Amino acid sequence: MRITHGQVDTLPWLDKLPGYDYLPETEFPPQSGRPLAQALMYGGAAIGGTVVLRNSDLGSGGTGPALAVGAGALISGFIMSLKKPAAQPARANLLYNRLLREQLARRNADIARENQTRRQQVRMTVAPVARGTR
Amino acid sequence: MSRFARFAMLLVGLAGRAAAQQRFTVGAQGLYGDYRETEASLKFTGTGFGGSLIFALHKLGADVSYASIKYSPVDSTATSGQEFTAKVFDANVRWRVLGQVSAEVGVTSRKMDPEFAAQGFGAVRIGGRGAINLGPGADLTVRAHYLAGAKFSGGGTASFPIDLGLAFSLGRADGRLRLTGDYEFQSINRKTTSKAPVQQALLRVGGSVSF
Repeated sequence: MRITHGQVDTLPWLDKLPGYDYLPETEFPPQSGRPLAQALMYGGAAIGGTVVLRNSDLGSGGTGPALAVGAGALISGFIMSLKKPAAQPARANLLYNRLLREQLARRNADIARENQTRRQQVRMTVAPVARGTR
Repeated sequence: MSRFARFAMLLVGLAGRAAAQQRFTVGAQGLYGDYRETEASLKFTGTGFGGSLIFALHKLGADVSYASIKYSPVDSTATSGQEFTAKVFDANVRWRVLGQVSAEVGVTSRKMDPEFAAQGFGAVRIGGRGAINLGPGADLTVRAHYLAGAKFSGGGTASFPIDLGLAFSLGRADGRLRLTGDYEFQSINRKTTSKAPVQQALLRVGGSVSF
């Protein structure tokens, strides 16, 4: 007796969903003057605080250290305003990619089930073999 | 595996994770100070050196700093003005309570050498600080403290002594190497039998290394 089985025509796994691509999960926010504005605000607050809180009995002046650090803060803010901002997570893209991954996993699970069924439906052939031809 | 061995492994794992998240920053600074006392003629300026150590873990932060500044009278004709060295020590512990805002307590001490050349001062700091990230590699810090329980070497009281600060750091985005600048302003409305205010403005410029 010779037993053979036919070819199983299974479905291939999917690496990606046709027509749907993953989106970048980080994005660079546009350059802005916000760091400079923040430095200006806090530097100004330090100088203003010094002027308001200093004791008039002790004379004027003495704002040199505040001006120096205020200038340092301002330079930092200016550099950061010109610099390319750090990449931020793109929330919408992260959600989209997660949905895409879930959909892909679901499709591959369906394919696995379908392939299992197909393997069970394979055609078997049982044929008698003449004596001495094994 | 014994219960003790599992517990020891858990402890090692937790300690390893904490060690990975903690950060030490060591800084060295050059200083410029402006110190005034009692009246406009008693004005001193000086320069010196200082060092700092900062520790951060999760929401907890702590710092210790020491500075030595040699002050000279601006008006050399002032009769009571003489050179002195101020040794300034500060230590703070903070806990991040909201976003980048931390509540902070600490101590401050300023000792003078010679002792009675100017007012020695000590107080407990109660206040807060806010950290502002300007971008990758640049940060600002603002702080304000009420100086509670102020004590002076020459006696006297202060009703509302206050300390304001602004600091910036600029350097590598990972924070390992930074150029730092710090401004600290203390206004102390000291009273003895009459008004005897004390005021100090300190500028610290230097660098820091984190690991």
